Amino acid sequence: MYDTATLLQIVFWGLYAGCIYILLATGLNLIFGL
Amino acid sequence: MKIVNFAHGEFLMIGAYITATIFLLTGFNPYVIILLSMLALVGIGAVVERLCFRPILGTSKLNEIFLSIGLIYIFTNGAAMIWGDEWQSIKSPYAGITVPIGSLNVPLDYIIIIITTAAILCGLYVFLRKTKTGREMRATSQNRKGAMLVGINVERMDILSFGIGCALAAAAGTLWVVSGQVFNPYMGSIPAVKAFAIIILGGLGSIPGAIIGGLIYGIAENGAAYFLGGVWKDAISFIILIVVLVIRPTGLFGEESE
Repeated sequence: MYDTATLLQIVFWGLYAGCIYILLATGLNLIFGL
Repeated sequence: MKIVNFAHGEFLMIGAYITATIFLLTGFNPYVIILLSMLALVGIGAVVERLCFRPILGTSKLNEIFLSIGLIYIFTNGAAMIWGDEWQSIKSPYAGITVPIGSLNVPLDYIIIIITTAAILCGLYVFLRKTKTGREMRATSQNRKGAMLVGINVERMDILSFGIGCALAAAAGTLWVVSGQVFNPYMGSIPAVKAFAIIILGGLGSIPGAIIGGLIYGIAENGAAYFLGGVWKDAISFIILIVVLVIRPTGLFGEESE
């Protein structure tokens, strides 16, 4: 089994990666139309 | 505007290079340079909208697709000519500093990146909901003819929407480089494809959808890389997209079109 620290790390690192995607996708949404 | 812009990743790349260049020349804090980078991309975006997309607005979608593919080549080759085509990276002033959160040691840069993103999104929300210009932008996007009838300058709104969209890509590019990731002129294509997948997943035109979609993708990629291996990192995003579209074709927050 995987320990909590590993799962937390995946979530936290995912949040950081997600931030870049969120900004990029939000910009794309503005151009495409709200 | 309903513009399909496949060159959006190139705006991320240009934002990354502008930040890196200013940082290397001046040594300013890259989290401050993000504002300059966004401002520069508002200008570049406005020029691209005015010179490239405006003349073909309302014609076939194929025109937009091929125009944006052409822009990809122009921007990548232009960047390679100016900055070279080798992989580069910069070191954030906070590199190596970690913050203990429970049993985790989280890099300070990651925390600043999350806070910066939240601040930008809050600013965007206030702009779109509470300011006259923001409401005019939304009105133009939702009903162009109606907006024209009530006296909104829709062409000005098009430039503004495109410029702000590009500025957000520049912010993403800046956060990319300050986190220590490598970059080169060809870096934009994969993030752009994923951004398209995210807005389809979240529902076209939905900002909450883009936020939830982005978080799902970020966490899923890291989870897949850890549990299944690095080769699944990119594939998992599209597996999620296919599953969501099969179950809910309009995306998570999308609405049925009439």
